[in-house]
Amino acid sequence: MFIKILNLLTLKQLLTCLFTISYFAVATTSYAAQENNNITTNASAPIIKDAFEWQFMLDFSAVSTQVIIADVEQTEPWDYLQLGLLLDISYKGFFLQTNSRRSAAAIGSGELGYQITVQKNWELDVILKAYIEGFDPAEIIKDQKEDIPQLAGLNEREYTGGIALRYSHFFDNAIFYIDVASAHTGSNDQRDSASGLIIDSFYSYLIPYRNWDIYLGAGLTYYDKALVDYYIGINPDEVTINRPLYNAKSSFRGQLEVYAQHPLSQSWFFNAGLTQTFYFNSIKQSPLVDRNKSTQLMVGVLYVF
Amino acid sequence: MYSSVCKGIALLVYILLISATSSVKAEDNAALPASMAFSVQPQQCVTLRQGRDCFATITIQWQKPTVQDLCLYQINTKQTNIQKQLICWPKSNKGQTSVAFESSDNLTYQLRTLKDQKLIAEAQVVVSWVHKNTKKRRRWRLF
Repeated sequence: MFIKILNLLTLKQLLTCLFTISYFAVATTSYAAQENNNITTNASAPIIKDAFEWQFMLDFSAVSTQVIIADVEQTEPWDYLQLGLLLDISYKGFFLQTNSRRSAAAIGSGELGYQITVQKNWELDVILKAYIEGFDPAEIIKDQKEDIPQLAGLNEREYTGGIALRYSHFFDNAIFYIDVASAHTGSNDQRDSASGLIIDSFYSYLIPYRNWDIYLGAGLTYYDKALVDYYIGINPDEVTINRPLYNAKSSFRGQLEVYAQHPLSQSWFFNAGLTQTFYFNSIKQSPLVDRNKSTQLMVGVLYVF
Repeated sequence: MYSSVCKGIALLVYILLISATSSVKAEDNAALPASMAFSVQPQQCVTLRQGRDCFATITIQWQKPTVQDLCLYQINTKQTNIQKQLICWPKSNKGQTSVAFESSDNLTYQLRTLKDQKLIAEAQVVVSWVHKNTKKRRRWRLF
């Protein structure tokens, strides 16, 4: 997966990313060392970056999801099943973490990052992750029961990877974070790549109730015009009678979610979540899109090693 | 393809076995005189994270051949043996009660005589957890 993400980045951008990470790593080495020697803030607790920790989980879930791409539905029973391997690991401020609320495949939803600074109530990280999932119209059509003329012969859209600066603010039972990402789509023989800004923010509030953890969340994400156009725009060479030329504009995505966990044993826990996503109404002007709202429901169990 | 499916099934079976083994790892410290029955169910309470209070409804039943004045006590041995009397059964040879369990520590339930506090039977409810308590702060969303 990360090889794929890395392929999305040009050599120049990759070098820039590595230089940036190295710079932060070197620049903050002494600071990190001081932190480990019990730097204290105004409050009393010492601030220490994540030590060596790891966790490995297996996810077995059923997922009902709506896709905004025109006429695409979950058709087969296994379309509803999700099996994921989730690895979280951290060492001296570096971390790899996967989203346990959305595993999908292997470490597809993973983030590779470095903690630039960790304070009592806030943290600044630099992260490398895939921000937008790609799609292959030919594969989608193959899985659907009915033909989708809007997708026939359409060029493949690759993943979008990005390097971001993440600010996180921690409250007693809540977290807010905002990513400012320089994102770059992958390129292939059929379609030129695109680059642009993504600003991704999210607020999550935890309500512990007996043995349950219930999370209420809300998010807002901004996508640059070039990125939106890469996915739902129609180039002149893609125009057909069912697919007129279309240039997309920049867009926002809003999300509301409820997610809950409950232990079943020392190794298993149950989880369920509901996410409602909203996009600007204007995205429906694209011939590839037939809705600007989607609902995802997930129910499953996770095994913790 | 067939091989990978078999490996997947084998892994799943292995995981289920491990899980089944760990889920019955409850401690039953009941020291019972002959012909005395003392049951505490469930014997394990699982919370999501280490250090969090665990909640459960514990059903306690006992039966013995002779009639006696007995009382049920809840004891937290970790917190300097904090002892709480829950219920007494005067002149009884059997009893049953439900107890609201709320603790981050293991708790012991003891059946003692009312008159001289002689221990008749005891059992422990063990608190365990899925995730170890770490300093790491989770920050994930669903999709």
